[in-house]
Amino acid sequence: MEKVNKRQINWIDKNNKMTQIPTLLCMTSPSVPYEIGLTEKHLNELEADHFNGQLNRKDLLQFLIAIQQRFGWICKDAIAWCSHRISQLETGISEQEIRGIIDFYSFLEKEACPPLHLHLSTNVTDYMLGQQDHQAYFETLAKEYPKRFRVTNTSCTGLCDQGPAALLNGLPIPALNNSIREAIRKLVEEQPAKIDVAATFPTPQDNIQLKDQLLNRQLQSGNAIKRVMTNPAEGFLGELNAARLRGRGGAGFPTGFKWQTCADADASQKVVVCNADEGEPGTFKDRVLLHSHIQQVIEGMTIAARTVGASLGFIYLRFEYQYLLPMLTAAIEERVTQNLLGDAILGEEDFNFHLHIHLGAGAYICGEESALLESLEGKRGIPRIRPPFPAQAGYLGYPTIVNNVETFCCVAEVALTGGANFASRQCEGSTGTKIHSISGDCERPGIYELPFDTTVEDILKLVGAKNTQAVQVGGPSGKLLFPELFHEPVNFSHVSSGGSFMVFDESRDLFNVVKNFTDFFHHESCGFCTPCRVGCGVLSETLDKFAKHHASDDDIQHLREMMELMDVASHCGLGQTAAHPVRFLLEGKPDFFKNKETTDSVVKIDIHEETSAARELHLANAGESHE
Amino acid sequence: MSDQTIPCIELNGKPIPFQAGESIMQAATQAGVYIPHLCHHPDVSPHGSCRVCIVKVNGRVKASCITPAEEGAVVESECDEIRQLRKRLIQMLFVEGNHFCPSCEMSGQCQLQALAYDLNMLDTHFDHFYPNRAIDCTHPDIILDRDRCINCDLCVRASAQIDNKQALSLGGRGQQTHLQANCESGLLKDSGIESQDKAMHICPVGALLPKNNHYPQITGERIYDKAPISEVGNVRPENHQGDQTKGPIS
Repeated sequence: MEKVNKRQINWIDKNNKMTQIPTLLCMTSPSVPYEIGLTEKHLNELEADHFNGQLNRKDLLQFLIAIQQRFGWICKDAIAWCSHRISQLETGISEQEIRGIIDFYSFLEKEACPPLHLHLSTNVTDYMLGQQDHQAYFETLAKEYPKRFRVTNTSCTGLCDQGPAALLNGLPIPALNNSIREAIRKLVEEQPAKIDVAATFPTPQDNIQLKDQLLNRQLQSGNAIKRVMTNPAEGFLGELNAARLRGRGGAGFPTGFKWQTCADADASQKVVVCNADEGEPGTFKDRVLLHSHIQQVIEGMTIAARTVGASLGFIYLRFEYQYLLPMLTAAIEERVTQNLLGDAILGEEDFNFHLHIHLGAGAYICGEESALLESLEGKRGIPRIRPPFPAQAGYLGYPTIVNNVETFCCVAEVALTGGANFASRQCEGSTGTKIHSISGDCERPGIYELPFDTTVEDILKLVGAKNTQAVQVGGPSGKLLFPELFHEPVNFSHVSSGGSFMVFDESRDLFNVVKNFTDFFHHESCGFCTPCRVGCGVLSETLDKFAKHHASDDDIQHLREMMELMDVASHCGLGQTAAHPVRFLLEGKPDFFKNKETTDSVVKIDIHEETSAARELHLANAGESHE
Repeated sequence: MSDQTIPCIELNGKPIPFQAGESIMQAATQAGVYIPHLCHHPDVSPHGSCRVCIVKVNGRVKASCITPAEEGAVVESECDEIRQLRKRLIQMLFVEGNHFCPSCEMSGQCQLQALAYDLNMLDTHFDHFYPNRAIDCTHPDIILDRDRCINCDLCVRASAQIDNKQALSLGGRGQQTHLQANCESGLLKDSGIESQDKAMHICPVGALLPKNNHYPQITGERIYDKAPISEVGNVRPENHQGDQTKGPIS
């Protein structure tokens, strides 16, 4: 486990208690293979090295992740230890609540895990590249060596242009093929004491195909900040409004308005958060920005901190991207030594900004900004009630701005070249450029930075897509477009996108695509509100009926009703958009459903399968009573 | 203060005054208007999860318990569209759990069942999930029957905000979200909950039940035997006292 020099800042929490936050909450690289034999000594060391010797409630998730990374699971004793340590403070937490948090996050395990754990990505693009074959192979391997190897599935890993992808003990392996799986088999058979995943397997590639202003920018560290510092702090809000910058995460909220709200809020502390929880299937541009343009991202965050008066910042990094941690940490450390982060930045009194990295643990919902804040506080990621908005009351109640990785890159660009200049490249009110992650049926998948007047058709030509049947723009929560709409430009007025662009040619059964997306939402629903918690289940089960040719017109009616209900009645964007895949296919190409309705007047039922759940229950109960 | 200065919303065509900071639900309750709900209770903070309290606010569907009342807002809580959506939500809660009204101790006192009647729910519409959920009978006085739980979080909030115990919480994610006892064992007996706690009595269904006081109301004397929930919705079932001596046949 790596150690870092601890720099500490004082932090006054809600109860007006002075606490200290270590500079980098998360600095542990995963063990491959996982270690065994967790003892109290390990936990004490972890707490001393990374949590200032006192585990706080808000650090709980980071602590659990650190245990998970090293040992592969979080055992009963570790849970009890956490509960005991935190309960010495004012706000205690019971073991069961901690188990409830572990259950919320996909990558946290509370059952014993073998030393190697492979997560296979289940995005539709992985399946299109032959994931099923690898799944079968690894399942056989896991059956052969159940004590050494486990394989499970995970939602999109952000490697759609280089799939099928997997994570080995949390570290990415792109482009699975026969030789890679043989290499994994060898590791399982030979059980080496230490495995360097990055050296043994291919590593994720940037795969940038087309650059424009953001990706061409070679930022000299500090230059954007210096330019902003020639004006008073609030001065930059004018630039931002002149730039008419809108958030790049998908919702397209005006950045200037969000910042203004936060700047206007009266509070002793404010917070800037970079949303790097890139979970929308088919999106991987933030991974590339973090990997190759981190200076722009941090510079944008630092400018945000100065503008709104924040001194604390977080990068909320999705678990799947933890391989970037050492690099990101080094970038932060370097900027601290350059006085571009820390106290009195570049000599300006009161310009303090302390940046931390916080890891996610596998929950798509944490990309929603208020759920992300809950997760930052170490809780289950349930979206908050709004108002108040995060810019009014966010992390620990302090006014907080949450922006996407790409948005902060744009901020650095606005700072460097001016708001008017940024806005000069515009199409129908969408200013600047947009970075797209393109995958699926095309010759040149990868990263494309494009102006906002680019149409879907233009993009398809650029990437070498042929016989395109449909395109999913903006990920599963976005739109499924058919050729009739390919003339539309991808911008905020027409086809809005957070950066995911998946191409499907005529050989694809779009029903399977929609089913994959619907199952994704079912897996990722946080379970807070009725429409989404139950609705996602109803949608998934109804599509199962179609897949088995058991469905009828009534089921189409159920789908339609559920689409309407979830759209209007759900608590957050996840529920409101979870039925979009079904909606777009049902409205655009209803034949994909009609073809799967039952043609028999008598539905054939596999009685063995239908009664399997009851039988399992019976056996389980019988087992219990024999004990 | 003259009438003109009191801010009002228009609820189902009638003006309803409100205080700054109040939700639509609070304003309606103050004025004696019942907006159907399950996860809301006036004694604890709002949650906004069941979505049964949806209303139309200036044409847009909102959860009235977490939507601030605003001057001049036009609110409809009983139009056909809202009632239809509400009925579907109730049906979804029925298919999600394992609800068996005929034998349930809370029948006639259950808000979920009463709303189903009020919305003229004749079937559950969707395929049942038939989940396999654990029942906790470890407590000497209380049963936690998760089959009937609708994850409304009322007992969680009541325990924290009224009983000052934090005996319960919701854990897990998605369809696996479940009510849990906050203690090492995760069992109700160790959670510190007691039968006189508000958490115990605030349950709108029958997930938290007393062990020694089954069927406390005689059929015919139960709260929703007397009047539909649309008429007595703002009376808390836990405060209802029917005549203990006579039933419909006596």
